[in-house]
Amino acid sequence: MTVLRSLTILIVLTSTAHAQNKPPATATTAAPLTEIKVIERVTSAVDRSLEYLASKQRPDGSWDDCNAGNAVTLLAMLGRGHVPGRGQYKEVLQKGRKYLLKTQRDDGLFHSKRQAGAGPMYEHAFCTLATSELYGMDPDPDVEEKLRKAVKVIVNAQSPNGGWRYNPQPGDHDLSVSVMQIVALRAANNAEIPVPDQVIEKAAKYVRYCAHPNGGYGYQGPAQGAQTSAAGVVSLQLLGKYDDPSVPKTLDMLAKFPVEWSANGIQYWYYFHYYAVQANYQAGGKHWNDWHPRIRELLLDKQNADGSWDVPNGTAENAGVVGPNNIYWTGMASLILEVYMHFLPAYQR
Amino acid sequence: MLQRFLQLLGIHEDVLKHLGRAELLWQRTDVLWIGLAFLLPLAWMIYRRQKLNLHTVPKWLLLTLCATRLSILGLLVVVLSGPYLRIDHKFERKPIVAFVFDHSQSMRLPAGPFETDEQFAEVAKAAGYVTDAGATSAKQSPDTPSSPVAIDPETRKALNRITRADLAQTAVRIAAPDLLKPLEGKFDVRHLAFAREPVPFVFDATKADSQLPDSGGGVSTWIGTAIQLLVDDAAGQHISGIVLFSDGQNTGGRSPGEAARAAAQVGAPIFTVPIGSPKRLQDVSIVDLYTSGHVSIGDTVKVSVTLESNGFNGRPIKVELKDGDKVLDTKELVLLGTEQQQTELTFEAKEAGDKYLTVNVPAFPEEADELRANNTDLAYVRVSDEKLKVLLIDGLPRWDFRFLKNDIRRDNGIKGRTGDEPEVLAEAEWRRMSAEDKAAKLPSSVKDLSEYHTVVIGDASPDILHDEFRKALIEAVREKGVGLIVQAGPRFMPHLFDQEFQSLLPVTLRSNAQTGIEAPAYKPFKIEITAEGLLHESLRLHDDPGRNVNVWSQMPSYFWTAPVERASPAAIVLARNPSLENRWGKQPLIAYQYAGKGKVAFIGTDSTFLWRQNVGDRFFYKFWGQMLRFVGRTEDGSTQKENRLVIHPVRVQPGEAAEIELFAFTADGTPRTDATIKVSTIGPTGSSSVELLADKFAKGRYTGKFTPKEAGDHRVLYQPNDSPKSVEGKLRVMPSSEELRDPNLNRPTLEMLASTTGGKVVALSDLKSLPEQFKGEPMLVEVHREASVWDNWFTLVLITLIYAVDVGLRRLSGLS
Repeated sequence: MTVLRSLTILIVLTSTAHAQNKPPATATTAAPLTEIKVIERVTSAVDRSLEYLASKQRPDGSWDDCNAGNAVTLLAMLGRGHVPGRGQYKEVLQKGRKYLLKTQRDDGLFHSKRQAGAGPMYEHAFCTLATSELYGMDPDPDVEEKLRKAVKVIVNAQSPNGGWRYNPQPGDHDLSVSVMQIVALRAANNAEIPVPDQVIEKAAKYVRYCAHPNGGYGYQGPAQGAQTSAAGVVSLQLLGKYDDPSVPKTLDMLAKFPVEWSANGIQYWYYFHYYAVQANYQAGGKHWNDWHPRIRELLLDKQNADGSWDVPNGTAENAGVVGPNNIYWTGMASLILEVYMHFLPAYQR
Repeated sequence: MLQRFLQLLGIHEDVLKHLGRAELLWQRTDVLWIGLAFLLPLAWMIYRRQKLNLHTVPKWLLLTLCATRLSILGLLVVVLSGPYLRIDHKFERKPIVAFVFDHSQSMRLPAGPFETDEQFAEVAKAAGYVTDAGATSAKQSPDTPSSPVAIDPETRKALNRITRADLAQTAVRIAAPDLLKPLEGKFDVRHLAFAREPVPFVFDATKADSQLPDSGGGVSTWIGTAIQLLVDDAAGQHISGIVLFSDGQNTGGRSPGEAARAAAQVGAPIFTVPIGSPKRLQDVSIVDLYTSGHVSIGDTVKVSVTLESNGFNGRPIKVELKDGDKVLDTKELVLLGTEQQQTELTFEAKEAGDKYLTVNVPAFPEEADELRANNTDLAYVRVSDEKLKVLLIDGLPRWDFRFLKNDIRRDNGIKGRTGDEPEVLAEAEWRRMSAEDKAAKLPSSVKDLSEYHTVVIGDASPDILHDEFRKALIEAVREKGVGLIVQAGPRFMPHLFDQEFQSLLPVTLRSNAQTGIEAPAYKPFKIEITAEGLLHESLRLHDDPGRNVNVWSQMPSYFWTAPVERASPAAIVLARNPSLENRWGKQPLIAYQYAGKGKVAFIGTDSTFLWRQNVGDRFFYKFWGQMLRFVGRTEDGSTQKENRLVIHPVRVQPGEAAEIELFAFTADGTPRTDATIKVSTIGPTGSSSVELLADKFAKGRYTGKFTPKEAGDHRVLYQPNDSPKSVEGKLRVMPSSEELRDPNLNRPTLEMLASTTGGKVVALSDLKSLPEQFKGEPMLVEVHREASVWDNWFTLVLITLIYAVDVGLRRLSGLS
């Protein structure tokens, strides 16, 4: 069960923001700006982390037998503005992309050698997200074809009430797997891959179904779990539902969680912080001002000398679940810090 | 007199400069001596012969005729001997050591506050309060021999109060025996002060008073410009060192990074001396203010404010947004002393026009008077009632396309030809449509395309941009004035398109160049904005020119650029790739030109998404939003041709140039053909005129620069002589508060200047170590010049004159 939940967390972590197709009623939004000297520290930390990740790539282009780690690593590189065919990580991205695409089955499902959960949908969504971001910046026509097939798998696996579960068949559902699929679909849609509107609307309805009246979201119904609350609010923000009444309540609730290097109240540390920083960034203003310095300084402080990150003791995201060589933790920490960089289209506010 | 005469003879300037050292020499001395030797008997023979033949003429005539003939022979001997002037001059050229003092507004702030004993000891030593031998106004700490000198409270107070500029001068004066004295005779020592451009001055180490001249433009600091001009002025003379005394705050002019690279290229190391305390001043400052610049009526306009504070942690503060005296919005914040804070103020745009909005935070009593200017800042917003119709076509959904399509969909000032949303087309999806849908989605007639104000084309293939589409597009641009932005890409654009399409572009491609994804295999390059680009409305990411320069210079590196060879003759280049240069100069990266009636812009990189680094949409879409509007069609498609005057940018600082663009027509709608047209400028205290020059590539278009000196509102007026209807444009001139926006010591800039050029950062108390850092010996320069003194018009005139006298006298005297 721990393995399943961890995998769920991993997959949900991959979810990223989507640009809205409908223009809001306001003029262009200004993004938060932080001091150059702070940015320089963040940039340096991310660059060291990418060097570490590149050094751990295996000859076949993978980092782990589970595709979650592979997709997170590719996203971390893209999130720093490294795109296929160019720059320092040209070869690393090329090999990583080839490996990822090779793991797709004929029916469109990305299939890992090692599964981190009860089914492949977490990893599949993660891979779909990474492929969406590669598409357009990589001239390989295979990327487009495989992305279209991967999206079809997600669309076909949606349960009647709008959620998704571990396996690629419509039926059961949970918020953790569902948020990951929502993010992957929105990223693909942003890349002009058609996704039926009713699929997105049904998904939003499912997230709302999991909302607790006092703020927060639950795993399979109304509750206030830390991880699912952060993921739930991000999914609604990315769907453009900023005005949903559950969003501000959940943001206030999240503000009470401690930002510290321990598993105190937060079982899935990276999962929580990945979504929490996104939620606060999307909200902006006071929420962003209060949150980002704390998580940033904590991560900068905890980076290892070799550029990698560990995980706080006692959390459920142990190496047995997320894979070896600190790959997952390092990739996730980089994605959290890359919220400052604004390169991934999926992050566009 | 002699100099002037020799100059008229065409003698070389170097020879005239050293005329006192010139020698008169002969190319063929043997000819001279033989000639002179023969000249005497010849003179006798001529006299004898004249006397025999002309025995009836008066004696004076006889003698004169002999003299003319002899003179001609004499001149012939001189000419055949080849007389010339020769200079052999040797002199010493010493390498330059320049002491450059920042004399901007921020350098008039107190150098303190200093906090630690070490800081006080260092500054006290530099300012002469203590000496190496011991204290004068201070006492040596008795604790340990290595502990810093103890500085008494009065001295501490004085050190905290001294201005940065005075501290720099004092330190040089105190260190003069060890700093300036060793340089004498060995180096060409120069002293300069700058705010914008450097002004030379004589530094007298015996005088305690401030000696820095008023360098003008004190509200700005142009470190990069000062360094660049110093390097240019050396004109090849070796620079052994540039010693820069500054707080490191740069607010405009040339980018310090670029100037440092230019200095490094000529081997000129920069030694930077940080002036000021590392401790941040107690201050609340608006460090950033952002609006999208262009909004539409009905928009809720967001003004994003970034505050930085020090020394007021936990104190509440109210941020106000005002339009004139009218308060539009307020927000309350609790200040955080360790982190910048953002807040957004909003207002609803209700009427069209230009708005200059003020954002203000009240000053705390503890803030120094000098720093209160940074509690206020201005933002410019243009409210428009027009909606720009935009068509965006790309091949694959590359990142630039994805960000741009979302941004234009959110921009309420942009719509489509047929609906409220701009038309966006990705070829990857278009090619999957049925033939009918394809035709319906892609407007391909001149009529349809002419409805757009701007068409943006990315890396799309000739399949979607087929012959019929291109033909219609070219006509819509050339004949109907539709604006076109072409963004290059490695797959198709523009190298796979025919010459007719490429002729629209403001650039010419390299023939036989590698064009695909491998074409970018250049080394990573940074964008370099041209002087025109810095003034141009599309590249203005900040209203303040200094901040604009800084923002562009800090953009990330690119890895791909289209294989552009050069700009087209009619193009204006706004940005370049400095890493690729050929005989036409640096490779154009962003340029535009008029193609018939329409403007066509070309963007040579596919990675403008990099402009999102750290700031998201703000710079990315500010550029695109401004460029979409700049190239956008301005005519309504009718045949009516009316005069139109545009000024950009609409806000400048005193002394900064704005461009005037006039489209002038006669009463019958024909474009004017005059070579120049004058427009009037009316400022707060007077009026003047500016002459605009005709654009030889666009009939009826005239451009010129207007550089207002005084702050306030200015109008530029064109009154045609054949019509009572005048046209005008407006310009707001206001000084920048940039200089005090961040008044603290900017050490990273100073470190960058030093490390880029092979110099170092030198502590104020360590100036004595500098002489040993300056490398270079005086060079013996030899000047060799030779100048012929006969091969000129004067010799010819002289011979002709003598001959004329001879012939004339004979004719007048009735001789044959």
